[in-house]
Amino acid sequence: MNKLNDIEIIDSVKRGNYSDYSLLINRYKDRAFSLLKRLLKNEMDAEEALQDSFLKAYNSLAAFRNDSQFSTWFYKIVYNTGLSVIASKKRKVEQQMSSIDEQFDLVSYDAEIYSGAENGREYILKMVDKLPIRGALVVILFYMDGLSLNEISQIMGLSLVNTKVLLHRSRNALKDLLIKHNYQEEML
Amino acid sequence: MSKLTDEMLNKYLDGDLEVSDLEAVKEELNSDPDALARLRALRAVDATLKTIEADHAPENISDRIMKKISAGKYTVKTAPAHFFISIISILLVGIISVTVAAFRSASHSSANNNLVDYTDKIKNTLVKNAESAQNFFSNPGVVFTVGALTIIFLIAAYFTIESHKNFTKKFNSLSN
Repeated sequence: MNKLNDIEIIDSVKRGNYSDYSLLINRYKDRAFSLLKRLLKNEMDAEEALQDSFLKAYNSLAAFRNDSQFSTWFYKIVYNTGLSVIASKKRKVEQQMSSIDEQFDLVSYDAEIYSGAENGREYILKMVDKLPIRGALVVILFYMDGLSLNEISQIMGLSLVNTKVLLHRSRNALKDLLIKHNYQEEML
Repeated sequence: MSKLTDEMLNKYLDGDLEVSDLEAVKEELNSDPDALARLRALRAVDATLKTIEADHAPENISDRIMKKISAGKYTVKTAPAHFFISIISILLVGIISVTVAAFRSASHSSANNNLVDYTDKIKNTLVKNAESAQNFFSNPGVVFTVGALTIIFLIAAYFTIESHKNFTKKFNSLSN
């Protein structure tokens, strides 16, 4: 049953086999949770938003068009649900997301992460969480979910150029730290 | 100062450079150790990011969601049948137009605006329109042209739908 693709599962759910929806939940829950954790910076909120996202997606499944990708459609729901949580809590992160010119200055976290990391790989992966929120989200969607920049721009409501800028800035910030600690030789 | 900016190195890494720029960047990398070191670091970052693993969502999240769904509070709302809605809308607009036309014509021709008058007028308008349509289609040339156009339209529609279906199937198989 797990071999079914997203569209086949959705068709089955639409035909009334609602229990098949659990296949989609199991397929996307971890990646959606990773995204929400970075967006909300709080595990409890991320969990609640994750539930809401799946329920919203279930309710709107009839509106999903089979000629588009479920992942892009679903992540858009996840992203918007996360933004609603932020808006409702008037978090500080809201201010951080007002423009793409977010601070890519990671130096303030450097000492703490560097002292706790065993190697360059661990250091870089921990630093991803310290990137400005949208930078971290673009990195997650691009590398973990394998989405194209075009799909990411649709999910986050950004232009393609700005999405690319966020990816490049994130990589550059991580690259500068890598050079600073001379990790690149060890990692290649 | 290195000529190669981080932006260009990122584009090089992503394969986004134009062919003409690509050669220039390759040449520059051969003679610029600083740019080469930055590119190596970027490659290391890129390779590391490719290994990012997803966090684990809470264990029982699927059960909790499915419990809410099975409680019946959440349902897959059926999509409105756009095709039938548009056909019914067109029919309704047609009926309303005929009725309005009949009313207007009745009010112009007679001061006695009673219900029977309106009903007659509606009937007359419909009959008149049906007659003119009948006259129009009694011409063999018109019938032939309309018939040919309909067949062409149906064939074109069939091929369009089939190609769309094939494209969707291919697209989905690529994406899954």
